[in-house]
Amino acid sequence: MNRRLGTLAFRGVTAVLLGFVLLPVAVVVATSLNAAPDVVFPPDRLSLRWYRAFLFEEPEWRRAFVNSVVVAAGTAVLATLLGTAGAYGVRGLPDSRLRRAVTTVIVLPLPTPVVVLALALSVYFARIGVGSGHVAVVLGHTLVTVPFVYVVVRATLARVDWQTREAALDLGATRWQAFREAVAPQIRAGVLAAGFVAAVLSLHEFLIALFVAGVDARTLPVLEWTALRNFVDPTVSVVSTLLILLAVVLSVPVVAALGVERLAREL
Amino acid sequence: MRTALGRVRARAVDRPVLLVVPVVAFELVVFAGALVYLLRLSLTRSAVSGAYAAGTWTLANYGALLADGYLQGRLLYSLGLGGVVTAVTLVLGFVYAYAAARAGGVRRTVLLGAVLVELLLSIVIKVYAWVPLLAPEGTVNAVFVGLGVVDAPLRLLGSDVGVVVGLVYSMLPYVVLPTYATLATMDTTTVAAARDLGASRLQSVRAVVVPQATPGLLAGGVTAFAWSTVAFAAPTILGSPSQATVANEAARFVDITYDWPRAAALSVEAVVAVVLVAGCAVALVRRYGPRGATEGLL
Repeated sequence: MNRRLGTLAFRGVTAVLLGFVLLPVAVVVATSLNAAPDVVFPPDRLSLRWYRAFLFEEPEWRRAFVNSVVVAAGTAVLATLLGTAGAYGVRGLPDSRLRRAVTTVIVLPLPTPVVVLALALSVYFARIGVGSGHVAVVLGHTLVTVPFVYVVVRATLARVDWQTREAALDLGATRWQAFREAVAPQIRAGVLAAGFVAAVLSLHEFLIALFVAGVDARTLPVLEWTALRNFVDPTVSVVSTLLILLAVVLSVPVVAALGVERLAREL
Repeated sequence: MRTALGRVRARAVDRPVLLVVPVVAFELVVFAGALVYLLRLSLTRSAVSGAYAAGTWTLANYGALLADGYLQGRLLYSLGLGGVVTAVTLVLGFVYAYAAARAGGVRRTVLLGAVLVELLLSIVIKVYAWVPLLAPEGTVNAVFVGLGVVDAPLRLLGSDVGVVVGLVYSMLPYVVLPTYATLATMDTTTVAAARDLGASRLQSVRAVVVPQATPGLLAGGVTAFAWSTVAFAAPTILGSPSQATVANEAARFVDITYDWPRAAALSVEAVVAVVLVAGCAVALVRRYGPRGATEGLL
């Protein structure tokens, strides 16, 4: 009896925590559909008027949307190339201490406070002539997404059956052919997933974009921030909802490739 | 062109070790370069006109910083905030991760999926979503007053409570995911054995589960502390000026007085303080905690 009560209490606490995690998501979506111009939860009446306003009347938000997509695409490509190459190459290092050192160098930006990184990058980029355009934001976002790509691809490589490559080589394939025919099919899903993770993280990255991007390269989170500093604005809810939807859509192939459980363990 | 590409490809395939060169070079140029430049900037004299006097060397920024009672107070406040947020997040994150590890099938997928969805939100959205919930006339106060828990609306927004709630929410996935990763491989029969031997639920969790989860909790705790101590968005949106962290103060130097050397010195001091506190915590766990608890860290 006591045991059953304990189980029920534990389930109750878990349900409250699940609500805690999901409530803000519900707030953002619900307030974007509110008919009134103030942001209250739950909304009184529903309407799509703020979506209409965002899509047809706000060139500034549209430009920020384009900037976000351009930066996310650039980050996904650069981070996936660098991270995948690094994860593949590090396996060939002869010394385990050397492998650990390379991993440390690649993962180190992760625990670094992002504000400090953002402040540092904004002066540093200005000083070395990278400027404050899309390229600067892509470089900054690549820095904070490469660790994720590296970790996901390393986990993928750990599950590769390397004997298929040996077999291909024994059968007379060149090393490139052996890689393309035996290894690449086994890691394609993992690399793709890593690229999507990088794109999603970039879409939502805020601090680096805030400090590094000039007016012309401002991404959606930066414009949201600027809007929030002035007044509470339902457009922010609209943009946030669209960003969440975009991220969910981008996540579909990742979840399909890895599954929720494995993704949770490897990120 | 074709042959050049072929040569690069052949070399990459023959000597895959060379593939680490681009990413390591990138980290050295962008990451290390930026941080070294920040350090150098903190040792540069401020200029009356323009951001800084290039090429000068001085320790005056650190001297002024350490003598500034207000800023040192902000640093202590930031560390305290980070400590409170980390403690609360560790407790909630552990319960959540343990529930996910114990649950099966659909329930596990829902619990993990929710955390992954939260990971998809930008920090701006995470913080902003709490405004209508915590406002004086907001959802939480409406429920509390309606249930008769309190007589008058609580001041949740513009206070420590709001900032802590927003930060705990933001940090939760970073504690849940590594903790879950360590618990996913846990041998659940040991928990059942402890229960059969007469241990209560809490006793068995404390004696059997927590030690196994320590590597994940430590990794998540370090991340939560490092990020929430220098939180930037949550204190601005959910707090008032008395919740400003060192990150807000550093940004103020940059935005308002263009005093880059002082902003750089404050950033460096904040990072040193965070690393010292987190390093002490890791050392304590290594000394007194379960064996192998610090293996997963860098």
